[in-house]
Amino acid sequence: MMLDEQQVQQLLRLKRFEQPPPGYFDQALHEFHRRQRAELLRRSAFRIWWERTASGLFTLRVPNYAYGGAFAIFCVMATLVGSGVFNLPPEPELASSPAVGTVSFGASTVAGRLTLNHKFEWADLERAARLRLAPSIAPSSTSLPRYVLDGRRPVSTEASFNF
Amino acid sequence: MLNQAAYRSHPVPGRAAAIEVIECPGVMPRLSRMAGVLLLLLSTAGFARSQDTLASISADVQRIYESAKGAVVRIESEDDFGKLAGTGFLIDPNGTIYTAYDVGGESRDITVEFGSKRYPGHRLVADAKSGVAILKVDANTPWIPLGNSDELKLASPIVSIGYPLDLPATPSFGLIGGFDLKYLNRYFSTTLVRANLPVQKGEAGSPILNLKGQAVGILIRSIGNESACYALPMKAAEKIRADYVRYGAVRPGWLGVSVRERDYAIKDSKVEVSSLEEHSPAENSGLRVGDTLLQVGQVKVRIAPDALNVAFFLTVGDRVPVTVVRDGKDLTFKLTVADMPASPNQAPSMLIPGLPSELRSPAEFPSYP
Repeated sequence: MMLDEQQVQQLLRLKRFEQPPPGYFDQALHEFHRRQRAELLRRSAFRIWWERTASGLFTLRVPNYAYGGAFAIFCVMATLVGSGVFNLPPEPELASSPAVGTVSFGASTVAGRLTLNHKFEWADLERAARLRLAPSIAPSSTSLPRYVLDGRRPVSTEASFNF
Repeated sequence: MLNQAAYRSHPVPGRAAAIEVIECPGVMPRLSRMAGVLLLLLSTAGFARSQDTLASISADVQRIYESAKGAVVRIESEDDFGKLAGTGFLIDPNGTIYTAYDVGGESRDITVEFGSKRYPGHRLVADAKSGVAILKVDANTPWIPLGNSDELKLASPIVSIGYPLDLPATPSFGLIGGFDLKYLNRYFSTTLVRANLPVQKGEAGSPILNLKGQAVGILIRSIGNESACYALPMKAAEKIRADYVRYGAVRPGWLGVSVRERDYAIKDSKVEVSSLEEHSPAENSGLRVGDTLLQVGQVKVRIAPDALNVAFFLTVGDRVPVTVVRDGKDLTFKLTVADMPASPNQAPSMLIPGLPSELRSPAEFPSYP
């Protein structure tokens, strides 16, 4: 809302007679310092840590050749990762029926296929879904069989004498 | 030395008697030496005889083991709880195998291993009540001849050959400990052979062999911390196989007779007919309530639990003679065994859990080779 000239004059007359409370200017500096300290205490611990670390790093004297060394290490690591040296060796493909694969074998197969330089394929997810995620008692190629001597059911069940 | 002296009574004046020790050098040493030699000879002869007996038993066991081990098979399969392994044995050259129900009764993906080769196996029939399963592999096989389990006596020596754990075929030697129809207050479906024979895990389904090398039983479970076992007599196993051959399935027979035990015996039998089912073969034959039962088929009846053996060996379609005592007279009736009527307590052998539903109908079973 825009004030007209008469209204502005009235406002200036009112302002002319405004006075701060007694001692206002004497306390102004003290109040400023108090609010500054309160603002410092309100900051997060992470921000305080970051400011101290940054100020400490700026005061640290790093030799110039360290920057060159760090850059050289970065280049070597990038070359190695790009060449596939760190990739896991490819797992052998399952035989004709993938459904009989065990959990551990199948899981390692999927892990082996999803390497850095391997292009993601939906077939990987389908393959993982086909794996039978059975409990630990489920059969596997490595677990020992249950050697049978006594069955789970009693042989003796008869109770009445009729025929 | 006392043993070198002789004693004799010698009258002494003023005393009733006195003992005079007379030294006889040469007599006692000779006697004692002869006794020592005799004792040595006897003990040597006894030791040699016991050694001969042990050697003879060992030779018998080795002979049986060598002749039968080729027909004892390791069975591996899978059920809902995972892989399992047990033992079985071939009974004919066509690859028919007897094993325990717990090994091959409900499992799938059956693999039979013998002679360092593995063959896929399939189940012909299984009977949970008796604890036996009959499998088959399609191969020409060695086999163990079957013996007469009725000839087994208390303390008869027996040998079993099984596959404990993942170990090779292993023989065990023991004695028949008894013939039990009841164990820990529960009744078996038929009398089982209790063998004092140490067994180990994986040996369920092993053959129990007599000293002729004939299979007379099938190991079906252990007792007493695996220090002994129960075996199904071969006669009972053959009844299951005969049912399969005739009908393609186990078909327990039924006459419709209920029995109870009296306090007194008539002609050695305490069993009397307590009730007859309506429209049953027994009712139609002329049997009456109160008749004293003496024999059904080949099974003699003395006490009420003998009815279990009677029921087990009834085969549908057979004509069986039933001998009773009525008013002091022996009477024999001929009854035709009927099918067990369907009921909630139907024999589990008729259900054969795990068998494909299309094979549960006897008409669908393949003919026995």
